[in-house]
Amino acid sequence: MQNHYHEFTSRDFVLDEAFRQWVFQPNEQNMTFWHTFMLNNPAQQITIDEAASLLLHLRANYDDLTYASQQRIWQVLEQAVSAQPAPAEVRPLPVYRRPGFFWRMAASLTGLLLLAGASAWYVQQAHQQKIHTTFGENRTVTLPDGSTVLLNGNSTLSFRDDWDQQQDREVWLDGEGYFKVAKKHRAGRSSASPIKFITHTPALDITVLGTQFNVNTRRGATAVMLVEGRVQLNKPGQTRPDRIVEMKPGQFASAQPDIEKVAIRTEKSQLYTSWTQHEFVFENTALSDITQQLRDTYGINVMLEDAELGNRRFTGNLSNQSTETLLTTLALTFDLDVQHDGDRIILQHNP
Amino acid sequence: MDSLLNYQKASDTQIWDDFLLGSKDAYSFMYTKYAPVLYNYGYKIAQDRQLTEDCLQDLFLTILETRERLGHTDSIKFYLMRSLRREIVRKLTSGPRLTGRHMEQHRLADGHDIDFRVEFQYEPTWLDSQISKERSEAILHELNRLPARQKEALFLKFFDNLSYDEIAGIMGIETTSAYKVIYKAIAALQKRMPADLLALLVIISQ
Repeated sequence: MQNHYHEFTSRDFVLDEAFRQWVFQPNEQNMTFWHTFMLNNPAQQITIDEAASLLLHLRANYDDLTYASQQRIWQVLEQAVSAQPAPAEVRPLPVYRRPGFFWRMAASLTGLLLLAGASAWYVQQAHQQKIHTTFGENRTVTLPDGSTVLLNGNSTLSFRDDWDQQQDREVWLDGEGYFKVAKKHRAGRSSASPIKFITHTPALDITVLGTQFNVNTRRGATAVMLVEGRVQLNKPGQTRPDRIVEMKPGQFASAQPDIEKVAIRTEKSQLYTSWTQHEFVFENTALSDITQQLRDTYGINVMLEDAELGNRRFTGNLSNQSTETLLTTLALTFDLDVQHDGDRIILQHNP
Repeated sequence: MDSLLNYQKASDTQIWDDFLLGSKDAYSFMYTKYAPVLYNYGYKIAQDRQLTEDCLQDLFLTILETRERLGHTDSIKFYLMRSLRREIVRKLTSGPRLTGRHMEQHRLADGHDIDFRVEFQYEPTWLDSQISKERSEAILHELNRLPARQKEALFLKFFDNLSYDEIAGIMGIETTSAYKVIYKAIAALQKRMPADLLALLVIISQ
């Protein structure tokens, strides 16, 4: 190995790639090389010490992107990804995209957008509402038409607050919400036609007139539990009448963003709406699904000791929605030990 | 998630090209891998959680929506860090955010000042016994009071392991300047090393 290491100053060592490797990622090979070098060049010992010491002080504090933020941004991006292949459609953009973004995109796209046009974006922006709940928080949102949405923890509902009496009502959901939609008819017309209420999610658009249903969009998939009334489902961008799926009360529908198929089956609605009554209701539910729910809604990171544990099934009804009680109940049922490790909770078999 | 694992061993060029061709997996992989790294860097400039997250989100939305017009790259990290920095600086300098908390500012090519808040730390390792507490504190003290520009370059070089070319590209300076900034920082540190050590150095080198 040709080098001038015997002439190096500590500064040279600090800037030397091989030297840095030895300090930060010592392995047998570079250890051997550098220790041999020091034996042969005792005069360089102090220089090397100084350089190594300097390098070790160049570690930096780590500013953490929180898991919740990383997930929240990803959900926005995922929505944008699923919106990509669809042909250009004129519909209000989700509010997630912030003013700065509008500006830049608007300006860079064409340069044709006149100032008047740009300020129109701003006016529209001013009417955008975005309600976000933190982990474990439930909140009822009343929409401009009197309909309500009960938001589960870690969920976001976006809508414009200037609905008129003529246009379809539109909201965007990220997370989980229980919708109670009021029937509305177009004003000022003799043959009062009903006004649609459309819930947009990455994998499904849910169109109703007046009804109650639960929507869950965790991890990209959209699940709808219809409690009463009727709803129509279509994949975003899909408007062909023969592709619209109708749901009846007691039915459960699920869809993935990239898959055309919408799966429908009959389910007990209580399993999907118990959270609105502050209850946990599980019926033959996999432990892995329960821990996933805890992560999505409460931000509680529950790890299972082994994969087999995730397949165990739990049936139970806890009237008080306390995650602590749920974990204790799970531990007792499956003979597990609950370990707290920083912000993680580990469920493991009792010895 | 299996497809994400496939990218672990792929080259940056390949991941980036897949993304340009519309692969959601490649996009998702880039986000998962680089979002924390980018945030860690961006926050040190923006010093504002919301602003950093906004810029991060906008950056990924922008590359998604403009990918048909994007060129190739063989260093995704470099590409994203450079874009994120530009975005943050643009927001910082255009908005009313530029307030008193920007104490140690450095000049950008366009004349704006930005800060780089990093807290250098000592990482105890196998060399432990050779460094006294006093000496360690003295080094950190000197490091942490270097000008923002030097701190940023040191951070990019020694924490994020970027090349001089990449550092120059990110900071919007010439490659030779990047080298000089880092060289100068190290020289400044050496100059201010505790006297006992310097004395020792002099004796030994004679």
